[in-house]
Amino acid sequence: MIFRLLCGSLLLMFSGIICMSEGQTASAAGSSPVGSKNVTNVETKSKQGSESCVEPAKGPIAPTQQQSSVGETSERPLSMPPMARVGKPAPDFEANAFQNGKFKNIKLSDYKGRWVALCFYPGDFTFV
Amino acid sequence: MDVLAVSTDSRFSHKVWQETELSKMVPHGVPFPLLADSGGKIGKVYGVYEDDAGVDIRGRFIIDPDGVIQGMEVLTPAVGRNVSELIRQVQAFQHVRKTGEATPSGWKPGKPTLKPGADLVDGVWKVWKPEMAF
Repeated sequence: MIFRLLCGSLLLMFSGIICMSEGQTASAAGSSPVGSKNVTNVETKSKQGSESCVEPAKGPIAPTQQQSSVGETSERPLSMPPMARVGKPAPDFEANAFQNGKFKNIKLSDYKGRWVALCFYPGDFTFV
Repeated sequence: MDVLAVSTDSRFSHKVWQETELSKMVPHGVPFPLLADSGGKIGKVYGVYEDDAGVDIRGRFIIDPDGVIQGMEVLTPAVGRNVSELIRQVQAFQHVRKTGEATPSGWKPGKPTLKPGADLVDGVWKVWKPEMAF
């Protein structure tokens, strides 16, 4: 469990670092040395036409018709209270994802018009 | 129906899990996307983020084509889901959406449905028996 948490925080560190600045691309995890504390594992050469850079995802997306207090922007709030209720619209979100060998960003609203089973689970490499 | 799987692991962990374990359980691995909910932000909004462990527990939401949540089931991590029940529920919700009928307990495609209306008030026993739920 502790080992998994440590790995989790290392991975979070890497994923936050990649794609931070415009114009700079990073290769996918393949060539990053695991365990390196240095941030200098970003390559400046980019492959022609490859989508190796994935933007950080927004996380939960607040509904746009929410009333915001004066002076507050309607950009995503830092924390949102639990909103998911059966019978109510599902809260939209954007997340980094891995599918079919590729990284991409996925929004729940991309799936409008289709039935969706949204399945949360505790962790990769765990038992059940 | 589309499936989206979410955990607090990063997309890199998902990639490695797919390649090293999932592809051994399912040929070529799972076809649906594995989403990264770093920090549990999405889990918090869905009420399944467990603060102490820092993970999303086993919540499952059925969302219809209009984006409305029709059903949810949340379990603690030790017990796995029942996929047949998930499929049964989605079929039931699809039937309800198409026909406006209601599906009684234990309904499966082909079994009798209930047509809500004034006639059925105090009359369900005439058209449905508890044994039909199994």
